[in-house]
Amino acid sequence: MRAARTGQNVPVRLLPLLVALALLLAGCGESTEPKKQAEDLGSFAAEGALLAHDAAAGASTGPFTQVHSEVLREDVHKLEPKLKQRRLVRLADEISSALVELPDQPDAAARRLDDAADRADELAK
Amino acid sequence: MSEIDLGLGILDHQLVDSDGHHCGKVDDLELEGVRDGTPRVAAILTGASAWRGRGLLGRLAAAVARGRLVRIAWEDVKDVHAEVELRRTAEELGVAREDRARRLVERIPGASL
Amino acid sequence: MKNVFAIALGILAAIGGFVDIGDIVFNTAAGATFGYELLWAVVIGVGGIITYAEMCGRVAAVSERAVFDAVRERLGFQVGLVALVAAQFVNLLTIAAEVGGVALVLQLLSGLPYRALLVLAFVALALVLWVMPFSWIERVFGYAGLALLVFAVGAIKLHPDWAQVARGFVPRAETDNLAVYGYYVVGLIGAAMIPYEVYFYSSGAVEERWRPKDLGVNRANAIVGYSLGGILSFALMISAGALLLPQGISPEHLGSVALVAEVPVGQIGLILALVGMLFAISGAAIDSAFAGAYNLAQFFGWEWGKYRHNHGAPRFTITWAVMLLLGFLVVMTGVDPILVTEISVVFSVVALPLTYLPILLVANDRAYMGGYRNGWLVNVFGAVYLVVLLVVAVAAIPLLVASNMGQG
Repeated sequence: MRAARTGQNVPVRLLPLLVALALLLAGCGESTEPKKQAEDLGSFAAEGALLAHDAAAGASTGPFTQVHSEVLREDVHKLEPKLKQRRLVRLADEISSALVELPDQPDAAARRLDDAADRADELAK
Repeated sequence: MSEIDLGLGILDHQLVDSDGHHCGKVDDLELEGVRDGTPRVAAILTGASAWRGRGLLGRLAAAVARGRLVRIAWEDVKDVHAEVELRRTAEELGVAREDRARRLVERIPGASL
Repeated sequence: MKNVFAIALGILAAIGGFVDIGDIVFNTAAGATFGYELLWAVVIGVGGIITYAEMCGRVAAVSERAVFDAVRERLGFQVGLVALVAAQFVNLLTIAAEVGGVALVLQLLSGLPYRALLVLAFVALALVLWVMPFSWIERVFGYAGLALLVFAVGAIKLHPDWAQVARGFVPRAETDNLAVYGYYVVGLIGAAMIPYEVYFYSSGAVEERWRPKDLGVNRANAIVGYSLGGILSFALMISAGALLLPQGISPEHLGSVALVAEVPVGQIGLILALVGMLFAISGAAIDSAFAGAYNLAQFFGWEWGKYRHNHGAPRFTITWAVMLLLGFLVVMTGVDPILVTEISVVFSVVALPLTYLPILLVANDRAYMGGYRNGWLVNVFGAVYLVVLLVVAVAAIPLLVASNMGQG
């Protein structure tokens, strides 16, 4: 018995192509523009500052503080190779080392990350 | 509704044997009497090989799945509504009852949970 | 009285089970990017899932069949097969995202290495699926997901500008980044209406042996349960808008989401957020694995259902196990589960019209529904949503590309 409809073959063929395209573009997610990079650094610093303030106030847990500060540090680390301006590189180093210090010295880290976030805001203007 | 309409209406519907077990879908139909103007459903065809009559994708699927073809005579159909109820059990009709899969699952402790 | 109790419990399970990793990611990111401006998109998504979940539940209660059964019958073998392949592809991505999400939350709770926790997550989920009866699964993971209500508490404690929040329920696009805005609209609607939810709700209704007498329960679950569940999405977006947006924080991780509860509510907020996410995402992993198995079994006419016990529906059982395993393997490659989440939601959006059209068709079918067919109001909603879904489905991939996956 012949079926009345012919199947819709187009979506099936197109889908793997679109997957590849999407994945490719996702990999190129980070911008290389200095303003965007400063914004990204500011985001990492501000988030780290939030975590640090909470950790200092005893509002966090050990594992969470450890894992999340490390995750943020990896974010900075991934951005570092793309940084061209020296002041951005210095800022990234500062944020990175503050994040390393965070689990053990949350107070100090909080101050450093607050400052870094402010500086990133300046650089992003 | 004439019998042929009924028959055509059950295409792709669920097959249920006399024990109430699912045993596949109505994958294709065997018609007879088309040429002499009194079309009837002679049999239900089920199994991956029956997809060969269902268009290009059907032939592709049949080639990939490489399953059997089981012919269920129309006389073995007990009732037709949303599901097609059959008069005999799946074993009697020769329709697969997921035996290989069942043997695999039963080897794992807790299979009756 | 007993019926009211049962309805209340069902609603609670629906609330707790409403949110999955897609909702978590998109609602938080949308809040951090656009503040409260996209609350209206959540309303649209919630309205859609309510409309269609009620339909699915009614179909299941009246015909004792699940919706994917109808896909082949309504659309024919070839179109049905395309729908099946698309659905399974999306289900697989969803499973991968949820399993990865479970491991991420476990890592935030324990500090143990991610890959080891992935294995643990896979084994634990497989065990739950193998051992636990269906209703237990729904209750346990649904109730525990209620811990996410801490985000509602947090949202209130963050003192957002409620007038501005209210304005967010009215759609307007005052942004020069229309592509990113559009991407989030698509993502929010897609996350709320993700296909596995209706396949699962429909088959789940058969699992729980709903009959016409349960249509009240169905309506309560779908309407009240999912509306209240939508509150969790609002809470995530409002909290992110109040806390993250002013600080210029772009949430990239599940830990970022947990922070949104930790800051206003403290340590207990963090713990409740993590536990809530753990159970909500685990529940979603289980539901989407089941959905994959339901779809395949219903398309080919196999036995299906946890109520038949593992050996009573052997191909169905093997299918969910294989899908869970494949999802696990996908994230085991080290790909970021958040990335998989975004891709799975966007791709599921493309499949949404094919998902929902058969439901609308079968809910109007006299052979299936008898006197319980859709009323005119439900049909209006159903049809309007199909149009919305078509628009969104066509726009999804272009917006993904144009907005650079929401990064701008």
